[in-house]
Amino acid sequence: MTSDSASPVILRGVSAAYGDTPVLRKVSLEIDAGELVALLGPSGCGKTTALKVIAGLLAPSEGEVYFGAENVTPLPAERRRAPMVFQKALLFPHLTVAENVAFPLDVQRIPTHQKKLRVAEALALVRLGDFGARLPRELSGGQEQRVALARAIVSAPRVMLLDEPFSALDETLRGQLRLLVREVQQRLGITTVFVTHDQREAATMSSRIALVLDGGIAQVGPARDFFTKPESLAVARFFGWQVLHGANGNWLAFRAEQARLIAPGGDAPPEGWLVLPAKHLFTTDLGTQRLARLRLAAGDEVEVEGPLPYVAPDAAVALALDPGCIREFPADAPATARGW
Amino acid sequence: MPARHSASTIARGMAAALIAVLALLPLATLAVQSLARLWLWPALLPPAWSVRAWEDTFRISSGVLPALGNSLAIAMAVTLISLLIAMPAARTLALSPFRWKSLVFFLLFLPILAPPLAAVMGLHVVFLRLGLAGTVIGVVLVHLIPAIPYATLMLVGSFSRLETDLEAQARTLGATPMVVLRRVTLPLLAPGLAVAASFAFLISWSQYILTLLIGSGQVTTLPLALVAAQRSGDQSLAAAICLLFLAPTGLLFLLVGKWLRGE
Repeated sequence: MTSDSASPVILRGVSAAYGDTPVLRKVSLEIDAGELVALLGPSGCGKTTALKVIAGLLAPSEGEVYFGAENVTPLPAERRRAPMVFQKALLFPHLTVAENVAFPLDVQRIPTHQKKLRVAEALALVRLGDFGARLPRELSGGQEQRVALARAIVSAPRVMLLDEPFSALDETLRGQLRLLVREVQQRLGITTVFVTHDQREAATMSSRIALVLDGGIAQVGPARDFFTKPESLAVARFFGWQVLHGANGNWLAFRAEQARLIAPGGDAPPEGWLVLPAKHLFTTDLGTQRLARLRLAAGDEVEVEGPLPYVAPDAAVALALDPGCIREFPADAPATARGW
Repeated sequence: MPARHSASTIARGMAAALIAVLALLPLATLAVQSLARLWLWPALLPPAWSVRAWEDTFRISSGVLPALGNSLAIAMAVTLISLLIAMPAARTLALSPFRWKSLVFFLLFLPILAPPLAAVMGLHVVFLRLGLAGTVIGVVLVHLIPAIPYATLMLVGSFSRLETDLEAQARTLGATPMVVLRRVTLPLLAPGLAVAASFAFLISWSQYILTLLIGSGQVTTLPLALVAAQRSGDQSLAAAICLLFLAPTGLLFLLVGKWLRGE
């Protein structure tokens, strides 16, 4: 269970389809050895398909997959050493926990004494050292996923593929498992591709995020980039940027927490800020912050977040934006990923 | 409500006892008959006992043992071949979406929907021409006609409950398709396979008319020997063969009973 085998993963112009339905369109992506990259996107965007192409469970209609310098496109799944952990733990129900974890080693015909050692090591890493003799049906959902994780790492894989492995678990457990996966991944230095639809999960787990929208990679980079410099209107929208029509017809995008709401009779904004008259629709109390929804004169509806003053519904207010925090996109940019 | 509880327990016990008596009484009668020297009405039990019928059964010259061997060999061959054909057929029917599926289902089950005798009359001519009539191979082939549809029907249920993601999972863990079959698919299908195999075996084992027609009297199986003994008027020998004939049924249901009950 060492990291020497971790490979970089390179996708070159990969397209894939289910029957006649195209799902991936010319996706190119490079992942460093030992890196954890999140494939983030809404459901149906093609992120799981990309994972299946890397795993070898689905043949691309064009393009190639490389593990390091080796073109693995023609290799069947069983020869790629790229174990996948699915949404469901998919433990073999007729095998004990230890036998499940030993499965990849059995297949490789690892000698028994060595196998026992590595199974024990993998189970200890996911903190299930005493669970070897149990059957899968005797485990909780979180324990099942930890066994699935141990089974994926036990054979020193070249790449580990995680397909929303925690989506069926409750929030507390998800948090714990995210930490566990991160810890195990960093300790072993396994190249990992992690599919999720959850921005926070993607941001906390990975060193880089590849945002997949409508079958293509819309932007790749560290999480911060998506909150500070989205490369397209579709990316901005996916990351919760507020969007309105500018005076010149272009789209203006800003972050709700960086905007200010000027209440009637309130302080004027700093010099140079963009001020737009608006109607206050309603305010939601988020506990420490408040979220106000405004309708601008042009009809756009946007949100402002912060320690906002109390404002009556339907009151005439103003939206103030720091020009340095506004991202501008051309008028003809597609508002959503569709048609992109 | 302990009174009510005990009442239902008693009722259940009585029902079980009644079923046991109904099931075992004919077997007990057979056992007594097989050991009777002469057993005439109105004697409740035979006046004299003898193991003559059993000695005859196991005497080579009586032909019962060769018939037993034929029956076993034919039934095992039928079981094996039906499973080999039924497994891919059932997998496709259960898991692959394709057009005309209900038509394929109908065609598959036609041999058990139509009276087999009708089909076999025509087949007999073909088998004669091919030189298969009167051979063990011919009998095996004709037994497959009812055995394959039943085995397929049993396995379609198992395959539709099979989680095929487990197979994909096994492949990403390094298992070749053969290893996936041996270590994942077959163990998961084991209950369904056992039930399907039992059905195929018993269908072949209890076949009389198809064996008689296609075997042309050259291939003697246990049902044929049984009917011959019964026709000859040797009731004790017939009873002994009958018990022998029932043995694998009992054995199979002991072995796969828990799967038949859906556990």
